[in-house]
Amino acid sequence: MADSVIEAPEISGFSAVGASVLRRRALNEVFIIIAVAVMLIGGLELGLRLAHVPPYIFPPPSAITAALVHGFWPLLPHIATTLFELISGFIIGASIGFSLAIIVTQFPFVEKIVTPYIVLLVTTPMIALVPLLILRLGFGPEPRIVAVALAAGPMVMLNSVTGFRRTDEMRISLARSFGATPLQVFLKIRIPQSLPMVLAGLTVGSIFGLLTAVAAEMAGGQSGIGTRLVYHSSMLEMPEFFAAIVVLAAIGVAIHLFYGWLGRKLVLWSA
Amino acid sequence: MSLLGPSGCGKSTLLWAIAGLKALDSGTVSLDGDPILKPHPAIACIFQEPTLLPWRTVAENIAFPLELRRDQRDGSKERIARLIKRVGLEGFERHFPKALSGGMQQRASIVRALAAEPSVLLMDEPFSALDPFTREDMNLLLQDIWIETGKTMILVTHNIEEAVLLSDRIVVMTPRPGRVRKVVEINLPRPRTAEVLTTPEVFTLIAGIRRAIAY
Repeated sequence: MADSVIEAPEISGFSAVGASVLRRRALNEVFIIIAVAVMLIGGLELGLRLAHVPPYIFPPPSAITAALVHGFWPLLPHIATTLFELISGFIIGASIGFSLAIIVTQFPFVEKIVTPYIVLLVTTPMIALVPLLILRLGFGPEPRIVAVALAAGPMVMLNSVTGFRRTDEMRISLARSFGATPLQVFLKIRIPQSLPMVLAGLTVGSIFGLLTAVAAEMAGGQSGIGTRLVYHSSMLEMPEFFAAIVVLAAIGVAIHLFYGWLGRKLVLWSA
Repeated sequence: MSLLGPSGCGKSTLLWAIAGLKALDSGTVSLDGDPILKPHPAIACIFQEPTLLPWRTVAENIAFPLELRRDQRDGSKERIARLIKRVGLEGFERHFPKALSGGMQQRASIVRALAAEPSVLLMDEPFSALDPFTREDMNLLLQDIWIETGKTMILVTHNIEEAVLLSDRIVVMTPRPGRVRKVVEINLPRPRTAEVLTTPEVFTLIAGIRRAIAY
C-alpha cells in the first residue's frame, strides 16, 4: 500500500515529462522541416535575382506563386479535364488488369503464354501510341483515356499476378486442412495475401497514368494541363508554365498520399 | 501417440496423408471406417509454423476454421473464450499475430485447431521452432489438454524426450525406405512433468529408443 502511494506520483510525473519531451521533439522536427523549405525556396529566389536569370529561362518562386494564384481559376477546367482522363482511364485499365490477373493465375499455362505480352506492354511506352490514337479518336479526351488505360492496366496486372503467385503454400494447406473450398482459398488466402502487391501496382499504375495523360495532352487538343504546358512554353510564359507543373506535382503527391492512407487502412498487418 | 524418427523417414508424409492433404501411393487411411481421401472435419492439424494469417487478428484467426465451415453452433464463442483463457492468450484477441511471440502464436494455432472440436488432433513438429523453455511449457499445456479432452493426438517429433513425455505409444520410424521400426508403449503415470525424464527408468527407455533409431 505504502509503496503504491509513493510510486504512483513518480510514475505519472515521469510520463508527463516523457510526453512533453516527445512533443518538443516533434515541434523541433516540424520547425526544421519548415526552415529547410524556406531556405531552399528563399535561396532559389535570392540566387535567381542576384544572378539576373531572366524570368523566361527560370522564373523566381515569387513569380510562380503569383502566376499560380492569378491563373488558378482559368486553369481549373484544364485540371478537371486531366483528372477526368486520369480517373476514368485508370478505372478502366486497373479493372481489366486486375481481372486478367485473377483469370491468368488460375491457369499456370495461360500465365506462361500471356506474361511476355504483359511485360511487353509494361515496357513499351504507351505514349508512343498517342498519335495513332488521336488519328482514330480525335483530339478529345477519348484517346487520352485509352492511353491512360493502356499505361495503367499492364502495371496493375503485372503486380497483381506477382502478388497472387507469391502465395504461401503452408497457408493454403492450412485452409485446406480445415476443409476450405478452392473459392474460399482464393477469397480468404490469395486475395488478402496479395493486397500489398496489388496496392503497389495501383500506385505505380496511377502515377504512370498521370504521366501518360499529360503527355497525351501535349500531343494536341484544347483542354488539359498538358495542353497548357505546350501553350505557355510556346508563349514564353514561364511563370504560368511552372505554375502548371506545380499543380501536376500536387496531383502526384495527392496520389501518393492517397495510397499511403489506403495502405495503412487495408494492410495494417504488413507494416 | 508419437511418430518419432530422423528427418526423411516419412513421419510428416504419413501425418499429411492422415490429414487428407496428401494422396497415398498405396493403402488407405480411415477414420471410424470412413476412408480419408480429403480433409475430414473431425481432424485438425497443427503445423510446425503457427501459420496464422497475418491480416487477421488472433480472434479472427481462431475463428477461421468455423468460418470456413459456416459453423454457427451455439456456445462456440464461449468455448473459444474458455480455450483462449486456458492457454493464457486473453487480452490478445484483437492483436495481430506479428505482435505475439512465437510461443504465443503457436498457442493461438492450438486454440484454432481445437475451435472446431475435432476428435483427432494432428501435430507436425509443432514446437520445434520454439526455445527449450517455451517448448517445455507447451508440452505440459498439450498434456493438460489431452487429459481434459481425451482427444486422439498424433504428434510428429524428432525429439525423443518430448515423445516420451507426451505419448502413450511411440512409433519409431527409420528412413530410406520409410518404415516403422518399433512401437514402444510408455506406461508412466500422468500428469507427467519434465522431472519424469530424469528417472533411471526413463533413461533406459530413451537409450532403447535411441538404439532402435541408430540400428
